[in-house]
This record gives sequence, structure tokens and C-alpha cells, in this order.
Amino acid sequence: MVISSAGVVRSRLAGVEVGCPEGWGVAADVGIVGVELVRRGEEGVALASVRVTSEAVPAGLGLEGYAERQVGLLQEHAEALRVLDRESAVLGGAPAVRLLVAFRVGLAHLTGDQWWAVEGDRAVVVAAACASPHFPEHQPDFEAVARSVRLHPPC
Amino acid sequence: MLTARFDPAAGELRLPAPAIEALGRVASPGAPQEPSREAAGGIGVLEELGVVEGGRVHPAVARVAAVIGAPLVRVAVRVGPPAAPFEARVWLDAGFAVCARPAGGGGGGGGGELHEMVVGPPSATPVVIAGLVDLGPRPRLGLVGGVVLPDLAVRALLGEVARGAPEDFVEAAGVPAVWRAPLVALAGHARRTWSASARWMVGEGRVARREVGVVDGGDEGLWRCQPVRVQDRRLARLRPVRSRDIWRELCALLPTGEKLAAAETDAA
Repeated sequence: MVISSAGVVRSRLAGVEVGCPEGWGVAADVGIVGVELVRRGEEGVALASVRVTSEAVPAGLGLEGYAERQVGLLQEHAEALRVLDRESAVLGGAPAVRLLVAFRVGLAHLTGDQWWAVEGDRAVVVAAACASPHFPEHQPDFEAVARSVRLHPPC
Repeated sequence: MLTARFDPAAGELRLPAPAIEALGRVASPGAPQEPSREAAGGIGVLEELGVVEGGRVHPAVARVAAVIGAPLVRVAVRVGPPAAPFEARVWLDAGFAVCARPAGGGGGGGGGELHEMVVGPPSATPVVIAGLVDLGPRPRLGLVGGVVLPDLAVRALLGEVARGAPEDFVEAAGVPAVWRAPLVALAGHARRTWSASARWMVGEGRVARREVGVVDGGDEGLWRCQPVRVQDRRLARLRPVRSRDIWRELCALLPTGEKLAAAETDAA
């Protein structure tokens, strides 16, 4: 993972590059599959996060097929999932699906804002989340990160 | 048929509205106003169910009663035509929320005037409201801006008052041509109107309010509905929005952090 002085974070292995909004930091390289940005509050408590990852997809799955699979995975694994909105979008110059969901982790009620794009034989995922009452303040940063995504050939 | 019920082991509490009001009164005996006649009648239901014994609230319901009796924030969710009307309420303090929603589902789903009480953290409130109003993905109309109509025309669009064919009264209301077809389509597909309003005391008797009003047009999208007053004319502004716009407003409905901490107990 490479961090430039301009706040651009690049994962060569995942082939993705994202801008880090002001006030955010790089949490960790998410294994070898991408980048995680975190907004922290007082005493280092994580308030919001955005993960940008990529993965191989079976040939012929396409964006709609991948999106359906992702929704199925969310419904299977997320607690009390509610799909709130779904729309077409663009991610890294590629057509994308954007999904807004509410879900629960323990006692915390979270909002997830996700973008999925399929380019060739790989999918790129931007998965942002925060506590629902704070979604209005973090949503602009989620969108800024999604807009900043650049796709490169993975190494 | 559903009946009033209290099962502490199962965490179930189902009450008629007067008993809910009475429960708050019992937990907040210093409440400044006289209880309504309905609330006075509700105490009998609470005693019969064992929710209140000897003037004391059952321990399993003590937190619920305390929040209803002296909340920091009150939320009212009202669902209306074309759907069968119903109302749900939420009371919150800094760490606990209680929702009274129609038993058996909204819109006269078998519970009559009974409400089931659901508890959770305050952060659950937006998703509780989303569930009550069935907030979810809707088509985007691609229209920019909004249109202002007489309040009566909006009610006619939604079938609340008889005003003939939508095409006719939309034209009679002077609606710009670009909005006529979308509004007529909305009249044909609207599922429900709904609003969620929150209020809390901010000191010296002043009340802070936030409200979200929506027409759910089903396949004709979601429309934000805001009252507009021009002199003595009651108007409404209808504006197509995305579901995520409504979600953002629901998330911002409640005060958080310092604003919530500064709110005063509202033992009305």
C-alpha cells in the first residue's frame, strides 16, 4: 500500500486508488484486497469507515449478477438488514450499483452505503458504514471517497 | 383477535392507548397536568394485567414507564391515505427508546387500538420508522425541483377529498404543464402519506421540532411534502426525492450529542 503526500492511498495488489478525505486516516491494508479508511473521534474511537476492495468474479457474472449475489450475501450475514435504496452509479469510470442499507451489529444500528462495479473479471467494492444517527454528517465523505476511486491493473 | 397482554418472561407488552398514557403517569407522578379521563381508565387495564400493582410499576416495565413518563424526545409517526391510517409513537431518553406501534401491523391489521411496545437504543429509531412506513427503493423520476399546490389539491390527489378527475383539478390548480402528468400518475399509484415528527424541550418552555412529510407514490417514486403558508393560504410543496434523501432526514430527525444532552425532560 502506498500513501502519497496528496492523501491518495493506493493498493497495488488490489489495483485501486482512493483519496483520503480530510480528518480521515488509513486504518489498515485490508489483507491484500484493498484499503480501509477510518474517521476517528475523541480517544481514537472509530466513527465511520470506508473499505475499498477488489475481488475476482466468475466470467459472465456481470454487474447485475454480482449485485444480486452481494445483496444475497448481505441478507445472509447482516443482522436486521433493511434495503433502503438502490440506484445506478459510476465507480472508477465503470457502471456501478449503489445500495443503501440499514443493519445492526450488536446493539449498534448502522447505515451502510455501498458501491459495486464489475470491470472485466474483477469486482470493485466500496463499503462505507457509520452509526445511523451520524449518517447525514458522514455521507458526503463516503461519496467523496467513491468519486475518488481510480482503477488500475492489479499487480 | 388480539387482546391486551403482559408477559414479562417473553418481553411482551401490548396495551391500548389509554393504558400507555396511564403507564407514563404512574411512573411520573409529578407530571404537571391532570391525567385525561382515558388515562384514568387505562390504570384499570394496567392493574388487571399486573403491569401496575399497588400503585407500583412491575420491575420488568420500570424503564419503559420511566421513559414514557419523562422522555427527552417524543416522536409521532402518522400514516394516512390512501393507506388505512394509523399512528405510532416513540419516547426517548439518552440511552433508551420505547416505540408503541399498532399491534398486528399498521393500518388496522387486527389489533384495533392496541399497541405493542418495542424497546431499543435511540439509534434504532430511524429504522423503526422506516419499518412503519415501508421505506425502501423506489424509482427515481428524474424531475428537478418541485411544485407548489393548494393543500386541498394535494388531499384531492391522494383521494382524501373528492374533487373529480386528477387531470381536471391539477389543471384547475394552475399546475405547470411539466408537473401535470407526474402528479396524475402519482394520484393513481400513491400508497400512503406519512409524516414523522420529533419534539423536545430546549429550555424556558421552548420546544424544538423537526418533521419529515412524504407521499409514497410506489412506482411513481417518493415525494417530499412540505407545508407552505402564503398569507392565509395553505399550500404544500411536493418534490420528488430519492429514498436515501428521506433516510438522511430520518437519521437527522433526533437531536444527538450536546443537543440531546441539553434537552429537558418533557413530562407533559
